Amino acid sequence: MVDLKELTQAVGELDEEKVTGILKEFLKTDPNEEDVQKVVNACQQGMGIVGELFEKNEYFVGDLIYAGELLNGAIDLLKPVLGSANSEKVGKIVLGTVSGDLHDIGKNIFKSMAEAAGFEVYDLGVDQPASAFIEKVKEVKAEIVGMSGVLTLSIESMKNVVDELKENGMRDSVKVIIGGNPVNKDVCEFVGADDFTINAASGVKICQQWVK
Amino acid sequence: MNTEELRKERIQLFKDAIRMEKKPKRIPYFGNLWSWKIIDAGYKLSEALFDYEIMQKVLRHVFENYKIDVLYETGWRNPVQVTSILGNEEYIINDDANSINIKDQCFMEAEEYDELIKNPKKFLWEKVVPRKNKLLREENNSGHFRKFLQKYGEFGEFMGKSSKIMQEEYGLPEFADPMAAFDHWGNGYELLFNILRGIKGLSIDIRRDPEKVSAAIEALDETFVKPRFERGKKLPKGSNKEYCVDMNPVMLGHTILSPKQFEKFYWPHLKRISDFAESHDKLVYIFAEGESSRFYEFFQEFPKGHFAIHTEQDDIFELKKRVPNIAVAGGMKSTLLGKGTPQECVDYAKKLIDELGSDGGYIFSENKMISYEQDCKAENLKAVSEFVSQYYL
Repeated sequence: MVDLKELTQAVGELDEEKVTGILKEFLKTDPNEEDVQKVVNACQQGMGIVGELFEKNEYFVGDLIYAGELLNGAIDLLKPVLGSANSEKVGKIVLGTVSGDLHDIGKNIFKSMAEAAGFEVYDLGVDQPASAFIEKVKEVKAEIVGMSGVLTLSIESMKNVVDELKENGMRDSVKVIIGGNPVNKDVCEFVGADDFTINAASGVKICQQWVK
Repeated sequence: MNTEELRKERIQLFKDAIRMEKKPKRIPYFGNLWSWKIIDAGYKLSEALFDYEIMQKVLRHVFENYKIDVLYETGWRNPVQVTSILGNEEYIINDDANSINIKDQCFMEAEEYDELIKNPKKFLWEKVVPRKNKLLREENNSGHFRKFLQKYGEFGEFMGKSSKIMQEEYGLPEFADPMAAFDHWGNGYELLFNILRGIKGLSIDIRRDPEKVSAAIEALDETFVKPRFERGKKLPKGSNKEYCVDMNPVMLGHTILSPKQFEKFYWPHLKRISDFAESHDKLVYIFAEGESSRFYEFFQEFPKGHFAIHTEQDDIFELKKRVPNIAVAGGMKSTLLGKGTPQECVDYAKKLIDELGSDGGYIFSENKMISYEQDCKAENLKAVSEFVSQYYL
């Protein structure tokens, strides 16, 4: 078994070479389900460190993008053995970039990090109308709706989704988080979301608190 | 005052604001109005972007309805008639949603750094240009290129006419020399960020192979930037009387960087501009996207009376306090313009001018690029621009 603390630290330090090295060694040991789960958890904890360092202004947007890439690489490496690990999902998130907006880098980082944290993420893609969010939430009975946008017009689109949730009598059964460049406290209030974030890592943290 | 006198006065207002040597006559208004103005004038985005006559009506609509001193974007931002002729599909216009998106651009692979570094001009011309413009990938592409030249000529003609209307009929100056657009915008790092590797690719490259990124910036700057500075050094000292500012760099790619990375990848270019502005007595207006407070220590090195920074998301009052050597621009919140009342907007405009403008070091403007319908209500912009044009400190 690999040194899990070392792996967590390497992910937190964004030391890609070290992370890859540890995971390759791990794969050679023909790991069982329990060990695979431990390794995934160690990576998740490493992402937690990335989020904390971002909040402390030690990491910046470029680091978050790189962290998303590193994490995707790690999960790709583990894929052949992941199938056998029956990890328990902590919650369901319906995620998408809202209508009128085609940006997806932030959304995709959030997705990687949320999945690493044990969420089942239903990614609708970009430029998604309110109806797409509503239908998916109904279909999968999600606990959380995550909306992303970069353009200022996305604010109105986010509000439309919340309004539609209300009209469908679903607003009280889901938590809503919005993320992206134009969001702040005022925007969050206007949209009627439960919380907002400008970085994926803290967004995941907020979601974790909701499903505790 | 005739339009020529008005134009000259407006140019002087901007220069005085940046110089910070005396209490200004009044605070100049930099109109940060982008695709919003098309919708405000009653047109669909594609109608105006594909018809220069309509775009000129849009410009007149702005000049006649809002008392601003500069309109920064005069129809050049989304030159879809020129780019689409070569099969470039980066602009995505949705007239139902009144939205325009620009695809994230990444026209170079991580493995191609050495090729770029070896000969940037050759790499851009032979690899990047055909990747960006699909019709140039065809074997017999000279017909497309001829059409492009024709469209480019029409675009130039439109820009010239618009400038004439703006200056001669309405007394608004050109903000910076339009013929020097690339001089304002381009540097090696921003080229990597905006066109070659994109936000994702460059974020990864900076971590995986920082020395290669540095070498690419150096090669691009040697080829495209340094010769321009050498030419600039031959120009007469002092700020050009025909324009509000002499240089107009746009900072976009700094948004992904830590201060340490900024020092390595970005600061050398800004330092070059800073030294040039000081030695040749030039005025520089930087538009800085996103939030930049982690770079204030660098900005503090700019020579006093030569720089203005238009901030998109910084706390502008804090920027003014911590970087007193520069003029600040922006501050009028698009969220307030879009959702507040005229009185709320005017009250906030007054606060901005009172708190930021007493030494002249403030240029009034919207914080964000006003692009979409909900970014601003016409009645709010009318009230604010009327107020700013009449308010004397």
